[in-house]
Amino acid sequence: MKLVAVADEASEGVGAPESEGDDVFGNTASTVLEMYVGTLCHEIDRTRLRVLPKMHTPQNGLTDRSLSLNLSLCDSTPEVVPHWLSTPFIQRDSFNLLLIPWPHEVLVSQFRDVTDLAPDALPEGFGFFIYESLRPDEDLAGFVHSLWVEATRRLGTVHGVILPEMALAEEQFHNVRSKLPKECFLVAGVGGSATAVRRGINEVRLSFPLLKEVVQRKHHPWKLNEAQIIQYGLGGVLTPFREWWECVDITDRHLNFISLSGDLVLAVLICEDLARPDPVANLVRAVGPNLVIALLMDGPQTKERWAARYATVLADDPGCSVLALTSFGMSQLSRPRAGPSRSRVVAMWKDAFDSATEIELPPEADGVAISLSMRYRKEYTADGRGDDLTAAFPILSGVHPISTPKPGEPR
Amino acid sequence: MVELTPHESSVLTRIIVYSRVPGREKAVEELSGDARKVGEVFLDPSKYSEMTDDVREAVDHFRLWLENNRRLREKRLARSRRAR
Repeated sequence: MKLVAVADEASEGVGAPESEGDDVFGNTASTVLEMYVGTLCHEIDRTRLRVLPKMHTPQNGLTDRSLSLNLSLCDSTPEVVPHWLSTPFIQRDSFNLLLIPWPHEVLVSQFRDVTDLAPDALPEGFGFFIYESLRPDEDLAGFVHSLWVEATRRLGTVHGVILPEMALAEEQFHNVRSKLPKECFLVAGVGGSATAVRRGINEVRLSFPLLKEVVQRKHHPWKLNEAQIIQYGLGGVLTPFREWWECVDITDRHLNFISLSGDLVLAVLICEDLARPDPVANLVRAVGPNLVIALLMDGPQTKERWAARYATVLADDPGCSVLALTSFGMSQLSRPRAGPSRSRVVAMWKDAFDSATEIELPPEADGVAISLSMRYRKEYTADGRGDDLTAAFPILSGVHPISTPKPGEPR
Repeated sequence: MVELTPHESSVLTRIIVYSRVPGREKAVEELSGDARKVGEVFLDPSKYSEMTDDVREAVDHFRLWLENNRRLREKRLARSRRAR
């Protein structure tokens, strides 16, 4: 136990390099973390166990995660490989993100039965489906840029733009990226069609200043059941009497932790990956990234729905702040069996301090800019060691509907 | 602006942050292209003016980030002192 405590105290700040010119240990730890691909262990092979930097220590319950402030002991599962990346993000006390719940319309015809693409006949009652992201008629890059311009005019700076799961096709992602300024990061869900020789693509692209684009695939395919077929009105293309698996490639599973500063490590999850406890959720819980962004293709993000429930679990233990974003189109497609539809609730925020906050897209708006501010709270280990008030929690400090300027309006 | 691979970004971050740890020259030599040029400027700031706009922009970004990190670190230390 004493050895654990000593190693933990010595490892303060690993994974988030700061200005410490002569810190040989920090330099070595950072080198090992990169060279050994997702572990700080020099001599223990990563197939046995992994040790990663840690941003939050659970303050409820008592587990092995309660024993350290700076190091996380992770399962050595080969199913998902953690990658730890550092990028020089200029962090202020607060930062602004532009959420674009694109597409604003989803058509039932974008869902397609591709059961015939299965290499072997599926059992009775199962099928494969895909969702086609690409609708080439849209000048999406221009639209995103104009929203960014308007959000920047209103807030001064927009540090990042976020689009939901499957919001873009690959070429659209590149077009959007090329129109945004280089210092603005872009996190977007990208989809691609299935073919006879390839499953579909459902992945997140992360583009940060100075860093080449990072790709992370979805880990768990979506399974549509009868209730969901009816909820989204897909019965005309997918019979409700089968269970439909999303036909996407789920090989090469890895999870990126992006260290933006000493206070801010970010992880992005795609839809089901927020809900399923393994393999990815165990890693997220062990590391406790300060900010988790969940890109969804889902119904309204109301407090009662599944995303808020799973976000609450992560906010409670280990203390992550969670942003969930779906498309307005998918939210509109979703019809509750009873009661009014609340399709304008396109995003949800949950942090360790407050109950879940619903974020609405007002009728005249095309996107929502949110402000996040860093709050600090002292965390303790089970053996009573404190962290000197360094545990950082982004909290929601502003919500601003953004619309594309109409002719004659100020820009 | 220069686009760095995760490896290049990681190496540059280390040589910039841990500026008094030995082995920086060797680490820069193992880089190539614009990433190496960015590293060379941090070893020898007088080379800044010889570099392309893209490389200078990347150097400026790293310098700004380093300054930002210092500010965050000072704030963190101040919080730590208050917490004790």
